[in-house]
Amino acid sequence: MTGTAAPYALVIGIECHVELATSSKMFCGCAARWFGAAPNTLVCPVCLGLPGALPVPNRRAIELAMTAGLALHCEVPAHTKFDRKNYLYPDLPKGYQISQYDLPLNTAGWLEIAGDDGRPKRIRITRAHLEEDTGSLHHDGRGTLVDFNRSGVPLLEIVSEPDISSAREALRYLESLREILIFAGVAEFRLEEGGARFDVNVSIRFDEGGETRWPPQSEIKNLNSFRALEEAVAYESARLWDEWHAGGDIRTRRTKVTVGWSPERGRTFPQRQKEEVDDYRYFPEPDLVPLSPAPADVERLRAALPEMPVEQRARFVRDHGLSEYDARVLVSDRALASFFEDAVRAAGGEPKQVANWVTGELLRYLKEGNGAVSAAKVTPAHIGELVRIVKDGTISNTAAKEAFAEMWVSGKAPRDVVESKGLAQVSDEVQIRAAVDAVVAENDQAIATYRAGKPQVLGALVGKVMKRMGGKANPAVVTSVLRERIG
Amino acid sequence: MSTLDRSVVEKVAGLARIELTDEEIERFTAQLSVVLDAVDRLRSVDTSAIPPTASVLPVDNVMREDVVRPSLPLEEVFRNAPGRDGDYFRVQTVLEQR
Repeated sequence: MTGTAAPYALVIGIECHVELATSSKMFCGCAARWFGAAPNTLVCPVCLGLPGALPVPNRRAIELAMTAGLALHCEVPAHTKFDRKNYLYPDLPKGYQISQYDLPLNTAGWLEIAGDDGRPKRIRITRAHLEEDTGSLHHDGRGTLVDFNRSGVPLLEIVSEPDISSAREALRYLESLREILIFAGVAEFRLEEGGARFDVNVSIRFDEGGETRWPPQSEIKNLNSFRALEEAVAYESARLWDEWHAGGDIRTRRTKVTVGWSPERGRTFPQRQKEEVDDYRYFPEPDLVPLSPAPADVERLRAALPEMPVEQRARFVRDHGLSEYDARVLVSDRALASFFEDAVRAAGGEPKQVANWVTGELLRYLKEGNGAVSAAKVTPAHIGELVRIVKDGTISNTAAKEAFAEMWVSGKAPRDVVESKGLAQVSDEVQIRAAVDAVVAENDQAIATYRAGKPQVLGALVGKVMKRMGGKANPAVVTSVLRERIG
Repeated sequence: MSTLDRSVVEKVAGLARIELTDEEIERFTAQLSVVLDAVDRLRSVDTSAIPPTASVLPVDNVMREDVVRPSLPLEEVFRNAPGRDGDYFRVQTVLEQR
Protein backbone atom coordinates (compact mmCIF):
# COMPACT_ATOMS: atom_id res chain seq x y z
CA MET A 1 0.00 0.00 0.00
CA THR A 2 1.41 3.42 -0.91
CA GLY A 3 0.72 6.90 0.32
CA THR A 4 -2.49 7.59 2.17
CA ALA A 5 -4.74 5.49 -0.05
CA ALA A 6 -7.11 3.27 1.91
CA PRO A 7 -6.11 -0.40 1.93
CA TYR A 8 -9.46 -1.38 0.44
CA ALA A 9 -11.71 -0.43 -2.44
CA LEU A 10 -15.10 1.10 -1.71
CA VAL A 11 -18.24 -0.15 -3.40
CA ILE A 12 -21.18 2.22 -3.00
CA GLY A 13 -24.77 2.23 -4.20
CA ILE A 14 -27.28 4.98 -3.39
CA GLU A 15 -31.05 5.04 -3.02
CA CYS A 16 -32.22 8.63 -3.33
CA HIS A 17 -35.75 9.52 -2.23
CA VAL A 18 -36.86 12.84 -3.66
CA GLU A 19 -40.20 14.62 -3.36
CA LEU A 20 -41.77 15.55 -6.69
CA ALA A 21 -42.76 19.15 -7.44
CA THR A 22 -46.53 18.67 -7.58
CA SER A 23 -49.16 20.98 -6.10
CA SER A 24 -51.18 18.17 -4.53
CA LYS A 25 -50.31 14.82 -2.96
CA MET A 26 -49.82 11.50 -4.76
CA PHE A 27 -53.26 10.00 -4.17
CA CYS A 28 -55.41 12.85 -2.82
CA GLY A 29 -56.00 16.58 -3.25
CA CYS A 30 -54.25 17.77 -0.07
CA ALA A 31 -51.48 20.30 -0.69
CA ALA A 32 -48.09 18.64 -1.13
CA ARG A 33 -46.06 21.55 0.25
CA TRP A 34 -45.95 20.28 3.79
CA PHE A 35 -42.81 21.99 5.02
CA GLY A 36 -43.60 24.69 7.59
CA ALA A 37 -47.38 24.04 7.59
CA ALA A 38 -49.18 23.78 10.95
CA PRO A 39 -49.39 20.11 12.05
CA ASN A 40 -52.14 17.93 10.57
CA THR A 41 -53.70 20.75 8.54
CA LEU A 42 -52.92 19.10 5.16
CA VAL A 43 -54.68 15.80 5.68
CA CYS A 44 -57.83 14.03 4.50
CA PRO A 45 -59.32 10.52 4.79
CA VAL A 46 -57.02 9.22 2.02
CA CYS A 47 -53.67 10.33 3.49
CA LEU A 48 -54.84 9.57 7.04
CA GLY A 49 -55.62 6.02 5.93
CA LEU A 50 -59.21 6.15 7.14
CA PRO A 51 -61.30 3.07 6.31
CA GLY A 52 -63.06 3.24 2.96
CA ALA A 53 -60.99 6.09 1.53
CA LEU A 54 -59.73 5.34 -1.98
CA PRO A 55 -56.57 6.65 -3.63
CA VAL A 56 -56.54 8.20 -7.13
CA PRO A 57 -53.10 8.77 -8.72
CA ASN A 58 -51.95 12.29 -9.54
CA ARG A 59 -51.36 12.57 -13.29
CA ARG A 60 -48.71 15.25 -12.84
CA ALA A 61 -46.74 13.09 -10.36
CA ILE A 62 -46.69 10.24 -12.85
CA GLU A 63 -45.58 12.56 -15.65
CA LEU A 64 -42.83 14.06 -13.48
CA ALA A 65 -41.61 10.59 -12.50
CA MET A 66 -41.48 9.59 -16.17
CA THR A 67 -39.74 12.85 -17.07
CA ALA A 68 -37.11 12.08 -14.42
CA GLY A 69 -36.66 8.62 -15.92
CA LEU A 70 -36.26 10.02 -19.43
CA ALA A 71 -33.71 12.58 -18.21
CA LEU A 72 -31.80 9.69 -16.61
CA HIS A 73 -31.86 7.64 -19.84
CA CYS A 74 -34.24 5.07 -18.34
CA GLU A 75 -36.51 2.72 -20.18
CA VAL A 76 -40.24 3.24 -19.75
CA PRO A 77 -42.08 -0.08 -19.59
CA ALA A 78 -45.32 -0.68 -21.47
CA HIS A 79 -47.04 -1.73 -18.26
CA THR A 80 -46.46 -0.62 -14.70
CA LYS A 81 -48.45 -0.82 -11.47
CA PHE A 82 -48.51 0.05 -7.81
CA ASP A 83 -47.97 -2.45 -5.00
CA ARG A 84 -48.56 -2.51 -1.28
CA LYS A 85 -45.50 -2.66 0.94
CA ASN A 86 -46.75 -3.80 4.34
CA TYR A 87 -45.14 -2.78 7.59
CA LEU A 88 -46.38 -1.27 10.81
CA TYR A 89 -44.95 1.99 12.02
CA PRO A 90 -46.75 5.03 13.44
CA ASP A 91 -45.71 7.26 10.52
CA LEU A 92 -47.62 5.00 8.13
CA PRO A 93 -51.34 5.34 8.90
CA LYS A 94 -52.61 2.61 6.57
CA GLY A 95 -50.15 -0.04 7.78
CA TYR A 96 -48.80 -0.19 4.25
CA GLN A 97 -47.08 2.14 1.84
CA ILE A 98 -48.22 2.33 -1.76
CA SER A 99 -45.04 1.76 -3.73
CA GLN A 100 -43.88 -0.16 -6.80
CA TYR A 101 -42.30 -3.58 -6.56
CA ASP A 102 -41.68 -5.65 -9.67
CA LEU A 103 -42.87 -3.27 -12.42
CA PRO A 104 -41.36 0.15 -11.62
CA LEU A 105 -42.11 3.17 -13.79
CA ASN A 106 -38.46 3.50 -14.90
CA THR A 107 -35.72 0.91 -15.33
CA ALA A 108 -32.13 0.62 -16.56
CA GLY A 109 -30.87 4.21 -16.88
CA TRP A 110 -27.60 5.97 -16.19
CA LEU A 111 -26.02 9.30 -15.51
CA GLU A 112 -22.50 10.46 -16.13
CA ILE A 113 -20.17 12.00 -13.55
CA ALA A 114 -16.48 12.87 -13.47
CA GLY A 115 -14.79 9.80 -11.99
CA ASP A 116 -11.97 10.08 -9.47
CA ASP A 117 -9.49 9.53 -12.31
CA GLY A 118 -10.91 12.66 -14.01
CA ARG A 119 -12.49 10.67 -16.82
CA PRO A 120 -16.24 10.54 -17.45
CA LYS A 121 -17.84 7.65 -15.58
CA ARG A 122 -21.29 6.23 -16.00
CA ILE A 123 -23.25 5.37 -12.90
CA ARG A 124 -25.99 2.93 -13.83
CA ILE A 125 -29.47 3.44 -12.42
CA THR A 126 -31.30 0.25 -11.60
CA ARG A 127 -34.76 1.75 -11.30
CA ALA A 128 -36.72 4.83 -10.33
CA HIS A 129 -40.15 4.15 -8.90
CA LEU A 130 -43.00 6.15 -7.45
CA GLU A 131 -44.23 5.86 -3.90
CA GLU A 132 -45.82 7.94 -1.16
CA ASP A 133 -43.97 9.67 1.64
CA THR A 134 -44.75 8.89 5.28
CA GLY A 135 -45.85 11.19 8.10
CA SER A 136 -43.28 12.71 10.43
CA LEU A 137 -42.65 11.68 14.03
CA HIS A 138 -41.58 13.87 16.94
CA HIS A 139 -40.44 12.24 20.15
CA ASP A 140 -40.88 13.75 23.56
CA GLY A 141 -40.37 12.34 27.04
CA ARG A 142 -43.85 10.85 27.17
CA GLY A 143 -44.17 9.25 23.76
CA THR A 144 -44.37 10.01 20.10
CA LEU A 145 -46.27 12.78 18.30
CA VAL A 146 -47.36 12.29 14.70
CA ASP A 147 -47.93 14.88 12.00
CA PHE A 148 -49.41 13.46 8.79
CA ASN A 149 -48.91 16.54 6.58
CA ARG A 150 -46.09 14.74 4.74
CA SER A 151 -48.09 11.53 4.44
CA GLY A 152 -48.87 10.82 0.80
CA VAL A 153 -46.51 13.38 -0.77
CA PRO A 154 -45.22 11.88 -4.05
CA LEU A 155 -41.76 10.45 -3.68
CA LEU A 156 -39.47 9.15 -6.41
CA GLU A 157 -36.97 6.52 -5.27
CA ILE A 158 -33.96 6.42 -7.56
CA VAL A 159 -31.76 3.37 -7.03
CA SER A 160 -28.22 3.28 -8.41
CA GLU A 161 -26.12 0.23 -9.13
CA PRO A 162 -23.06 -0.15 -6.86
CA ASP A 163 -20.91 1.69 -9.40
CA ILE A 164 -19.66 4.43 -7.07
CA SER A 165 -16.12 4.05 -5.74
CA SER A 166 -15.60 6.87 -3.24
CA ALA A 167 -17.40 9.42 -1.08
CA ARG A 168 -16.36 12.10 -3.58
CA GLU A 169 -17.91 10.17 -6.46
CA ALA A 170 -21.03 9.70 -4.34
CA LEU A 171 -21.26 13.49 -3.90
CA ARG A 172 -20.73 14.11 -7.60
CA TYR A 173 -23.44 11.57 -8.38
CA LEU A 174 -25.91 13.31 -6.08
CA GLU A 175 -24.97 16.78 -7.29
CA SER A 176 -25.48 15.67 -10.85
CA LEU A 177 -28.78 13.99 -9.98
CA ARG A 178 -29.94 17.11 -8.17
CA GLU A 179 -29.01 19.34 -11.10
CA ILE A 180 -30.80 17.09 -13.62
CA LEU A 181 -33.99 16.81 -11.56
CA ILE A 182 -34.14 20.57 -10.95
CA PHE A 183 -33.44 21.33 -14.61
CA ALA A 184 -36.10 18.89 -15.76
CA GLY A 185 -38.57 20.62 -13.41
CA VAL A 186 -39.18 17.32 -11.61
CA ALA A 187 -38.15 18.27 -8.09
CA GLU A 188 -36.88 21.19 -6.07
CA PHE A 189 -34.53 18.98 -4.09
CA ARG A 190 -34.61 21.22 -1.01
CA LEU A 191 -32.44 19.25 1.39
CA GLU A 192 -32.92 21.77 4.18
CA GLU A 193 -36.68 21.18 3.96
CA GLY A 194 -36.48 17.40 3.93
CA GLY A 195 -37.19 17.31 0.20
CA ALA A 196 -34.64 14.54 -0.43
CA ARG A 197 -33.15 11.73 1.65
CA PHE A 198 -30.58 9.04 0.92
CA ASP A 199 -29.93 5.46 1.92
CA VAL A 200 -26.37 4.44 1.14
CA ASN A 201 -25.04 0.91 0.77
CA VAL A 202 -21.31 0.76 1.54
CA SER A 203 -19.02 -2.23 1.33
CA ILE A 204 -15.25 -2.70 1.27
CA ARG A 205 -13.33 -5.05 -1.02
CA PHE A 206 -9.70 -6.00 -0.59
CA ASP A 207 -7.11 -8.72 -1.11
CA GLU A 208 -5.97 -10.83 1.77
CA GLY A 209 -3.62 -13.77 1.44
CA GLY A 210 -4.11 -13.81 -2.33
CA GLU A 211 -7.88 -13.92 -2.06
CA THR A 212 -10.42 -11.21 -2.75
CA ARG A 213 -12.55 -10.42 0.30
CA TRP A 214 -15.87 -8.66 -0.09
CA PRO A 215 -17.78 -8.86 3.18
CA PRO A 216 -21.49 -7.88 3.44
CA GLN A 217 -22.33 -4.19 3.21
CA SER A 218 -23.78 -1.73 5.65
CA GLU A 219 -26.87 0.19 4.69
CA ILE A 220 -26.77 3.69 6.16
CA LYS A 221 -30.38 4.86 6.40
CA ASN A 222 -31.97 8.24 6.05
CA LEU A 223 -29.10 10.66 5.43
CA ASN A 224 -30.42 14.15 4.77
CA SER A 225 -27.43 16.18 3.62
CA PHE A 226 -24.44 15.79 1.31
CA ARG A 227 -22.13 16.40 4.22
CA ALA A 228 -23.74 13.68 6.35
CA LEU A 229 -23.35 11.31 3.43
CA GLU A 230 -19.67 12.08 3.00
CA GLU A 231 -18.90 11.70 6.69
CA ALA A 232 -21.04 8.60 7.17
CA VAL A 233 -19.42 6.78 4.24
CA ALA A 234 -15.93 7.58 5.57
CA TYR A 235 -16.86 6.46 9.08
CA GLU A 236 -18.67 3.28 8.16
CA SER A 237 -16.10 2.01 5.65
CA ALA A 238 -13.32 2.47 8.21
CA ARG A 239 -15.49 0.75 10.81
CA LEU A 240 -16.06 -2.27 8.53
CA TRP A 241 -12.31 -2.53 7.98
CA ASP A 242 -11.63 -2.37 11.71
CA GLU A 243 -14.35 -4.90 12.43
CA TRP A 244 -12.77 -7.30 9.94
CA HIS A 245 -9.37 -6.97 11.56
CA ALA A 246 -10.78 -7.30 15.05
CA GLY A 247 -12.23 -10.63 13.92
CA GLY A 248 -15.79 -9.36 14.33
CA ASP A 249 -19.03 -10.86 13.21
CA ILE A 250 -18.48 -9.34 9.74
CA ARG A 251 -16.27 -12.38 8.99
CA THR A 252 -19.15 -14.79 9.31
CA ARG A 253 -22.39 -12.91 8.73
CA ARG A 254 -24.15 -13.43 5.44
CA THR A 255 -26.45 -10.41 5.34
CA LYS A 256 -26.03 -6.66 5.43
CA VAL A 257 -26.43 -4.59 8.57
CA THR A 258 -28.61 -1.51 8.83
CA VAL A 259 -27.20 1.53 10.61
CA GLY A 260 -28.23 5.10 11.32
CA TRP A 261 -25.97 8.17 11.33
CA SER A 262 -25.58 10.54 14.24
CA PRO A 263 -24.21 13.84 12.97
CA GLU A 264 -23.73 15.08 16.55
CA ARG A 265 -21.54 12.14 17.54
CA GLY A 266 -20.00 11.70 14.09
CA ARG A 267 -20.65 7.96 14.08
CA THR A 268 -23.04 5.30 12.89
CA PHE A 269 -25.16 3.20 15.23
CA PRO A 270 -26.95 -0.14 14.69
CA GLN A 271 -30.62 0.23 13.81
CA ARG A 272 -33.58 -2.04 14.15
CA GLN A 273 -33.20 -4.72 11.52
CA LYS A 274 -35.91 -3.80 9.11
CA GLU A 275 -38.02 -6.48 7.59
CA GLU A 276 -36.57 -8.67 4.85
CA VAL A 277 -38.17 -8.21 1.44
CA ASP A 278 -40.41 -11.23 2.07
CA ASP A 279 -41.61 -9.68 5.29
CA TYR A 280 -43.04 -6.69 3.40
CA ARG A 281 -45.56 -9.07 1.81
CA TYR A 282 -45.73 -7.01 -1.39
CA PHE A 283 -48.81 -7.55 -3.52
CA PRO A 284 -50.51 -5.56 -6.31
CA GLU A 285 -52.44 -2.61 -4.85
CA PRO A 286 -56.09 -3.63 -5.23
CA ASP A 287 -57.37 -0.04 -4.90
CA LEU A 288 -55.55 1.09 -8.06
CA VAL A 289 -55.63 -0.07 -11.66
CA PRO A 290 -52.44 -0.63 -13.67
CA LEU A 291 -50.77 2.09 -15.73
CA SER A 292 -49.86 1.67 -19.37
CA PRO A 293 -47.89 4.74 -20.47
CA ALA A 294 -48.97 5.56 -24.03
CA PRO A 295 -45.99 5.83 -26.41
CA ALA A 296 -47.36 9.18 -27.63
CA ASP A 297 -47.33 10.52 -24.04
CA VAL A 298 -43.80 9.26 -23.50
CA GLU A 299 -42.67 11.00 -26.69
CA ARG A 300 -44.45 14.21 -25.68
CA LEU A 301 -42.60 14.18 -22.34
CA ARG A 302 -39.32 13.38 -24.05
CA ALA A 303 -39.79 16.30 -26.48
CA ALA A 304 -40.53 18.65 -23.57
CA LEU A 305 -37.33 17.70 -21.79
CA PRO A 306 -34.96 20.67 -21.65
CA GLU A 307 -31.33 20.38 -22.66
CA MET A 308 -29.47 18.89 -19.69
CA PRO A 309 -26.82 20.95 -17.87
CA VAL A 310 -23.83 18.87 -18.93
CA GLU A 311 -24.86 19.21 -22.60
CA GLN A 312 -25.70 22.89 -22.28
CA ARG A 313 -22.33 23.71 -20.71
CA ALA A 314 -20.53 21.91 -23.52
CA ARG A 315 -22.59 23.82 -26.11
CA PHE A 316 -21.93 27.21 -24.48
CA VAL A 317 -18.19 26.54 -24.63
CA ARG A 318 -18.30 25.14 -28.17
CA ASP A 319 -20.79 27.47 -29.88
CA HIS A 320 -20.47 30.67 -27.86
CA GLY A 321 -16.74 30.50 -27.12
CA LEU A 322 -17.33 30.93 -23.37
CA SER A 323 -14.90 29.81 -20.70
CA GLU A 324 -15.74 26.64 -18.72
CA TYR A 325 -16.17 28.91 -15.71
CA ASP A 326 -18.71 31.23 -17.36
CA ALA A 327 -20.56 28.25 -18.81
CA ARG A 328 -20.77 26.68 -15.35
CA VAL A 329 -22.06 29.89 -13.73
CA LEU A 330 -24.71 30.43 -16.41
CA VAL A 331 -25.90 26.82 -16.43
CA SER A 332 -26.09 26.65 -12.64
CA ASP A 333 -29.58 28.09 -12.99
CA ARG A 334 -31.91 27.17 -15.83
CA ALA A 335 -33.53 30.64 -15.81
CA LEU A 336 -30.13 32.34 -15.99
CA ALA A 337 -29.04 30.12 -18.88
CA SER A 338 -32.13 30.97 -20.91
CA PHE A 339 -31.80 34.67 -19.99
CA PHE A 340 -28.29 34.52 -21.45
CA GLU A 341 -29.40 32.83 -24.66
CA ASP A 342 -32.27 35.28 -25.16
CA ALA A 343 -29.89 38.19 -24.62
CA VAL A 344 -27.40 36.80 -27.17
CA ARG A 345 -30.26 36.61 -29.67
CA ALA A 346 -31.29 40.20 -28.84
CA ALA A 347 -27.70 41.42 -29.17
CA GLY A 348 -27.37 39.71 -32.53
CA GLY A 349 -24.31 37.80 -31.37
CA GLU A 350 -21.51 38.96 -29.03
CA PRO A 351 -21.95 36.00 -26.62
CA LYS A 352 -18.83 36.87 -24.64
CA GLN A 353 -19.97 40.45 -24.04
CA VAL A 354 -23.44 39.23 -23.08
CA ALA A 355 -21.93 36.64 -20.72
CA ASN A 356 -19.88 39.41 -19.08
CA TRP A 357 -23.03 41.41 -18.38
CA VAL A 358 -25.02 38.43 -17.14
CA THR A 359 -22.34 36.88 -14.90
CA GLY A 360 -21.09 40.33 -13.86
CA GLU A 361 -23.58 43.15 -13.26
CA LEU A 362 -26.77 41.10 -13.42
CA LEU A 363 -25.64 38.41 -10.97
CA ARG A 364 -24.11 41.01 -8.66
CA TYR A 365 -27.36 42.98 -8.48
CA LEU A 366 -29.40 39.77 -8.12
CA LYS A 367 -27.27 38.65 -5.19
CA GLU A 368 -27.46 42.04 -3.49
CA GLY A 369 -31.23 42.08 -3.89
CA ASN A 370 -31.56 38.36 -3.13
CA GLY A 371 -33.92 38.09 -6.10
CA ALA A 372 -34.70 35.67 -8.88
CA VAL A 373 -33.75 36.22 -12.52
CA SER A 374 -37.39 35.94 -13.53
CA ALA A 375 -38.33 38.85 -11.26
CA ALA A 376 -35.60 41.24 -12.52
CA LYS A 377 -36.75 44.40 -14.30
CA VAL A 378 -33.78 44.17 -16.64
CA THR A 379 -34.76 41.90 -19.53
CA PRO A 380 -32.66 39.89 -22.02
CA ALA A 381 -33.75 42.40 -24.70
CA HIS A 382 -32.28 45.22 -22.56
CA ILE A 383 -28.93 43.45 -22.19
CA GLY A 384 -28.89 42.79 -25.93
CA GLU A 385 -29.49 46.46 -26.65
CA LEU A 386 -26.88 47.55 -24.12
CA VAL A 387 -24.26 45.34 -25.75
CA ARG A 388 -25.17 46.72 -29.18
CA ILE A 389 -24.91 50.40 -28.18
CA VAL A 390 -21.57 49.81 -26.46
CA LYS A 391 -20.31 48.07 -29.56
CA ASP A 392 -21.42 50.82 -31.98
CA GLY A 393 -19.83 53.46 -29.77
CA THR A 394 -23.03 55.16 -28.61
CA ILE A 395 -21.90 54.84 -24.98
CA SER A 396 -18.71 53.86 -23.22
CA ASN A 397 -18.43 50.74 -21.07
CA THR A 398 -18.32 52.90 -17.96
CA ALA A 399 -21.46 54.78 -18.97
CA ALA A 400 -23.10 51.43 -19.75
CA LYS A 401 -22.62 50.33 -16.15
CA GLU A 402 -24.19 53.55 -14.97
CA ALA A 403 -27.07 52.91 -17.38
CA PHE A 404 -27.44 49.36 -16.02
CA ALA A 405 -27.83 50.69 -12.48
CA GLU A 406 -30.71 52.88 -13.64
CA MET A 407 -32.24 50.09 -15.75
CA TRP A 408 -32.13 47.81 -12.71
CA VAL A 409 -34.20 50.24 -10.69
CA SER A 410 -36.61 51.60 -13.31
CA GLY A 411 -36.80 48.79 -15.86
CA LYS A 412 -36.35 51.38 -18.63
CA ALA A 413 -34.79 50.45 -21.95
CA PRO A 414 -31.07 51.33 -22.36
CA ARG A 415 -31.66 53.98 -25.06
CA ASP A 416 -34.18 55.80 -22.86
CA VAL A 417 -31.77 55.77 -19.93
CA VAL A 418 -28.90 56.99 -22.11
CA GLU A 419 -31.06 59.86 -23.31
CA SER A 420 -32.54 60.85 -19.96
CA LYS A 421 -29.21 60.70 -18.15
CA GLY A 422 -27.19 62.17 -21.02
CA LEU A 423 -24.82 59.23 -21.13
CA ALA A 424 -24.25 59.23 -24.87
CA GLN A 425 -20.69 59.32 -25.96
CA VAL A 426 -19.60 62.25 -28.12
CA SER A 427 -17.98 61.08 -31.33
CA ASP A 428 -18.49 64.38 -33.11
CA GLU A 429 -15.06 65.47 -34.30
CA VAL A 430 -15.86 69.20 -34.27
CA GLN A 431 -16.59 69.16 -30.52
CA ILE A 432 -13.65 66.88 -29.81
CA ARG A 433 -11.28 69.00 -31.90
CA ALA A 434 -12.21 72.10 -29.90
CA ALA A 435 -11.44 70.31 -26.62
CA VAL A 436 -8.18 68.93 -28.03
CA ASP A 437 -7.14 72.43 -29.10
CA ALA A 438 -7.79 73.76 -25.61
CA VAL A 439 -5.79 70.98 -23.97
CA VAL A 440 -2.91 71.37 -26.42
CA ALA A 441 -2.78 75.11 -25.71
CA GLU A 442 -2.41 74.45 -21.95
CA ASN A 443 0.14 71.63 -22.06
CA ASP A 444 3.25 72.77 -23.97
CA GLN A 445 5.50 70.80 -21.68
CA ALA A 446 3.71 67.45 -22.13
CA ILE A 447 3.54 67.93 -25.87
CA ALA A 448 7.24 68.64 -26.06
CA THR A 449 7.89 65.46 -24.10
CA TYR A 450 5.67 63.50 -26.47
CA ARG A 451 7.45 64.89 -29.48
CA ALA A 452 10.79 64.08 -27.90
CA GLY A 453 9.86 60.39 -28.24
CA LYS A 454 7.83 59.60 -25.12
CA PRO A 455 4.48 58.40 -26.52
CA GLN A 456 3.30 57.28 -23.07
CA VAL A 457 2.30 60.85 -22.14
CA LEU A 458 -0.49 60.56 -24.73
CA GLY A 459 -2.62 58.71 -22.17
CA ALA A 460 -2.49 61.65 -19.77
CA LEU A 461 -3.46 64.05 -22.54
CA VAL A 462 -6.40 61.86 -23.60
CA GLY A 463 -7.45 61.91 -19.96
CA LYS A 464 -7.43 65.70 -19.88
CA VAL A 465 -9.56 65.91 -23.03
CA MET A 466 -12.00 63.37 -21.58
CA LYS A 467 -12.25 65.36 -18.36
CA ARG A 468 -12.87 68.55 -20.28
CA MET A 469 -15.74 66.84 -22.08
CA GLY A 470 -17.28 65.52 -18.91
CA GLY A 471 -16.21 61.94 -19.63
CA LYS A 472 -18.55 61.66 -22.58
CA ALA A 473 -16.09 61.76 -25.44
CA ASN A 474 -15.40 58.62 -27.39
CA PRO A 475 -11.82 57.79 -26.29
CA ALA A 476 -10.93 56.19 -29.61
CA VAL A 477 -11.87 59.36 -31.50
CA VAL A 478 -10.08 61.56 -28.94
CA THR A 479 -6.90 59.52 -29.29
CA SER A 480 -6.87 59.68 -33.04
CA VAL A 481 -7.63 63.43 -33.18
CA LEU A 482 -4.96 64.15 -30.57
CA ARG A 483 -2.34 62.06 -32.39
CA GLU A 484 -3.08 63.85 -35.62
CA ARG A 485 -2.90 67.29 -33.92
CA ILE A 486 0.41 66.88 -32.12
CA GLY A 487 2.07 64.05 -34.06
CA MET B 1 -52.60 -31.66 6.51
CA SER B 2 -51.05 -28.66 8.14
CA THR B 3 -48.84 -26.60 5.82
CA LEU B 4 -47.99 -24.17 8.58
CA ASP B 5 -45.97 -24.52 11.74
CA ARG B 6 -46.25 -22.28 14.72
CA SER B 7 -43.01 -20.39 14.06
CA VAL B 8 -44.61 -18.88 10.94
CA VAL B 9 -47.61 -17.74 12.94
CA GLU B 10 -45.32 -16.23 15.56
CA LYS B 11 -43.42 -14.37 12.85
CA VAL B 12 -46.56 -13.04 11.16
CA ALA B 13 -47.91 -11.96 14.54
CA GLY B 14 -44.64 -10.11 15.14
CA LEU B 15 -44.89 -8.31 11.79
CA ALA B 16 -48.47 -7.34 12.67
CA ARG B 17 -47.32 -6.21 16.13
CA ILE B 18 -49.88 -8.54 17.73
CA GLU B 19 -49.15 -10.43 20.91
CA LEU B 20 -50.61 -13.94 21.00
CA THR B 21 -50.91 -16.40 23.86
CA ASP B 22 -49.70 -19.99 23.40
CA GLU B 23 -53.26 -21.17 23.15
CA GLU B 24 -53.98 -18.58 20.43
CA ILE B 25 -50.89 -19.54 18.47
CA GLU B 26 -52.04 -23.19 18.49
CA ARG B 27 -55.54 -22.26 17.44
CA PHE B 28 -54.48 -19.84 14.67
CA THR B 29 -51.87 -22.25 13.33
CA ALA B 30 -54.61 -24.80 12.76
CA GLN B 31 -57.07 -22.25 11.34
CA LEU B 32 -54.57 -20.56 9.03
CA SER B 33 -53.41 -23.95 7.79
CA VAL B 34 -56.91 -24.71 6.61
CA VAL B 35 -57.08 -21.34 4.82
CA LEU B 36 -53.69 -21.83 3.18
CA ASP B 37 -54.53 -25.35 2.09
CA ALA B 38 -57.73 -24.08 0.52
CA VAL B 39 -55.89 -21.32 -1.37
CA ASP B 40 -53.20 -23.82 -2.31
CA ARG B 41 -55.70 -25.65 -4.48
CA LEU B 42 -55.28 -22.80 -7.00
CA ARG B 43 -51.90 -24.27 -7.83
CA SER B 44 -53.58 -27.15 -9.59
CA VAL B 45 -54.93 -24.79 -12.27
CA ASP B 46 -52.81 -24.72 -15.40
CA THR B 47 -51.90 -21.03 -15.91
CA SER B 48 -49.12 -21.52 -18.44
CA ALA B 49 -51.17 -19.90 -21.22
CA ILE B 50 -52.37 -16.94 -19.09
CA PRO B 51 -50.39 -13.68 -19.07
CA PRO B 52 -49.39 -12.28 -15.65
CA THR B 53 -52.35 -10.26 -14.42
CA ALA B 54 -52.08 -7.44 -11.86
CA SER B 55 -55.72 -6.43 -12.01
CA VAL B 56 -58.86 -8.03 -13.34
CA LEU B 57 -60.59 -4.71 -13.99
CA PRO B 58 -60.94 -3.87 -17.69
CA VAL B 59 -59.52 -0.33 -17.23
CA ASP B 60 -56.16 1.28 -16.74
CA ASN B 61 -54.66 4.78 -16.49
CA VAL B 62 -57.28 6.17 -14.12
CA MET B 63 -55.83 9.45 -12.83
CA ARG B 64 -56.78 12.79 -11.36
CA GLU B 65 -55.46 16.24 -12.25
CA ASP B 66 -52.93 17.87 -9.93
CA VAL B 67 -55.37 20.19 -8.20
CA VAL B 68 -55.30 21.09 -4.50
CA ARG B 69 -58.56 20.56 -2.65
CA PRO B 70 -59.42 21.58 0.88
CA SER B 71 -58.11 19.32 3.64
CA LEU B 72 -60.11 18.33 6.72
CA PRO B 73 -60.69 20.78 9.58
CA LEU B 74 -58.74 19.80 12.71
CA GLU B 75 -61.79 18.68 14.70
CA GLU B 76 -62.61 16.19 11.93
CA VAL B 77 -58.98 15.04 11.75
CA PHE B 78 -58.95 14.06 15.43
CA ARG B 79 -62.52 12.85 15.73
CA ASN B 80 -61.60 9.15 16.08
CA ALA B 81 -57.99 9.58 17.16
CA PRO B 82 -56.96 7.33 20.07
CA GLY B 83 -54.77 10.11 21.45
CA ARG B 84 -54.38 13.83 20.78
CA ASP B 85 -51.80 16.26 22.06
CA GLY B 86 -52.32 19.79 20.76
CA ASP B 87 -52.58 19.39 17.00
CA TYR B 88 -50.62 16.14 16.95
CA PHE B 89 -51.64 12.52 17.22
CA ARG B 90 -50.10 10.99 20.32
CA VAL B 91 -49.00 7.37 20.09
CA GLN B 92 -46.94 5.03 22.23
CA THR B 93 -43.25 5.25 21.60
CA VAL B 94 -42.29 2.53 19.21
CA LEU B 95 -40.01 0.05 20.90
CA GLU B 96 -37.37 -1.38 18.64
CA GLN B 97 -38.26 -4.97 17.98
CA ARG B 98 -35.83 -7.91 17.91
